Amino acid sequence: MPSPDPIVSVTCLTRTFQRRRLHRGRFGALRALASRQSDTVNAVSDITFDIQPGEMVGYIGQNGAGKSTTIKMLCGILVPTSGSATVLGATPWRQRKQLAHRIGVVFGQRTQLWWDLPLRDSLHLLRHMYRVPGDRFAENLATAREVLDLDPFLATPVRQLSLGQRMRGDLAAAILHDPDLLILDEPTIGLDLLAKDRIRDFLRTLNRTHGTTMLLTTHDLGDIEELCERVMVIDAGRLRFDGNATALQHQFGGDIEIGVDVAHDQTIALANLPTGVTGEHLTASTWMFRFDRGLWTSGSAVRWLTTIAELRDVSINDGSLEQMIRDLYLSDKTSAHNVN
Amino acid sequence: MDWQQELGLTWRIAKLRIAAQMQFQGSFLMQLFGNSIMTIMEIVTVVIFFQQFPALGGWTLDEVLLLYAMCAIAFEIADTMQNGLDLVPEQVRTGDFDRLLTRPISVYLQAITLDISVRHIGKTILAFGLFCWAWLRLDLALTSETLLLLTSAWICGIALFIAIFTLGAIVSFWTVGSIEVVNAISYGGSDLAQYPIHIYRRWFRTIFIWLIPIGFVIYYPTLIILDKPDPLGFAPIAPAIGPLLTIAFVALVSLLWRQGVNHYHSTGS
Repeated sequence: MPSPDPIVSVTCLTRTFQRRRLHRGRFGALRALASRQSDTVNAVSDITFDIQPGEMVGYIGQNGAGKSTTIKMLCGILVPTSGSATVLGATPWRQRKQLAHRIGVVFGQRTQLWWDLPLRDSLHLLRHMYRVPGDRFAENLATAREVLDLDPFLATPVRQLSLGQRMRGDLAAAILHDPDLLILDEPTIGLDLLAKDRIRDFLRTLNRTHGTTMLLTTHDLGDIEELCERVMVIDAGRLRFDGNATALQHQFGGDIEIGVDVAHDQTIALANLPTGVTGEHLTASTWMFRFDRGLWTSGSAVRWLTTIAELRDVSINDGSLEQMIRDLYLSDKTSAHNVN
Repeated sequence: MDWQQELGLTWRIAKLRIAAQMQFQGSFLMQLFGNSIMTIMEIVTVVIFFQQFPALGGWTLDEVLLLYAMCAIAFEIADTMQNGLDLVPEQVRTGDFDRLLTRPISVYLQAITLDISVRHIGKTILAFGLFCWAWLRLDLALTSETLLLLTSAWICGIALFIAIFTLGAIVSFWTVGSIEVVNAISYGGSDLAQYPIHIYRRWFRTIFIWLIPIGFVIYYPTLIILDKPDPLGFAPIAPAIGPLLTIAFVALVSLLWRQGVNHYHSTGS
């Protein structure tokens, strides 16, 4: 049952790294061991957020922005420098083993399965490791087999699986013990569209039927668009945005661009445009309009356009999420935007 | 999950992995064969040595072979069981070690099963064969006392060698550099324990008797079984102090392992 308490609660979480200088040459290893020279790197700075039961939260940012470091702290792999985190009522780095029973972790880049064992054996071993009751195991395995289509490669050793198959196997492995929270680090990295679809389908199903809370990092904005209502953006260790995807679009999306192609005998006067609209005559029959996102939506913009001319063709650039995030990184705003 | 369940699970993982390896029978037999050849060459070296010098520190060829086999049995069994530890430095370097920390069972047992290699089984069988052969040639009696000495020697020996291999993994939590120092202790330690320890220099002996008590654990039980003169004079206390020193060494190493994992927690990869 979902509790009223947040699943994840993070307050002023900070992690700095001491990067030891590398020593090369003779006795380099020993000198590295003895040396105290190091550089301080801020991987995660003063991050605060809550995740409520049943939420699917996208966690995005460039490489090295601090996504993985945050996730490692939430799993209990890494101890923070300061700040606190509570995951399912536990402090991850103090109660790592207890917490491991209640969360599922998937690292897209490394498998949790035994490379030399058939997938089926791996799943059975995990069943014993997590002490999953027989009926729960049977049901979860059945769901995974169906939605992730595991049957063709259940008997294949993991090392012979394709990336997409392996990822599906890893997902199945992560949910066998009915975790309340699923932490996914790049779950669709390197996969083809079909495999991505399957995985997104599976995650949606799991969220709907079990109410599983999910935190996922990704570079694929398709994951965000299809799975996550809420997005957190981290940049250089700081939380730059936390809110829903639409709000992100509003804040950083720039103008809506609409190109139109009109019938031959038509023309559009650019003199008296409504507020929030700028126009440009490109060629004989094509025009380009820009609409301020605060005043217009792509729908209202197109409706207005149909009232002023007979349109033969319309192309809308509503601003991709990718473009937005690039704008977000480039913008000079340094404070976190909380629009929750 | 208590430790018995964890051990049971570890054994289950090991069994499955061994079964998976045996499926490739050709390569399995090749590995077994290749490894046995190396051991045979080592034994031949010892035999050739004894054709030049009839005795080593007062021990005959058969006696030295018995000691050699005593040590090799413990070492090869330990080496079979510790293969996963060899992968720890690499896993720490790449960050793959993270995976072990997301699971609800002992990190050490998971590390042990990172790789299970059956190729050392050939060497173990060979060492045991050599032991039986030397035992029969020396016409030794199997009494309850000798049986106790043998069992204690092997249990302590295996524990000791695994602990030394663990040291190698532990070092990698602090430095990504080479672990050759530790290899020198484990492989070197086993090599030197295969000969009567009193033939070595004093400082060298001291290390491998008191600090890393291979001398107490392998050399002394063999010496007592063979009823050889005791140039170092520890024979009366050896059967008791060997296991005690082993427990102390294993405790120290497990403490260091814990420290190492904590260090990983605090630094990441």
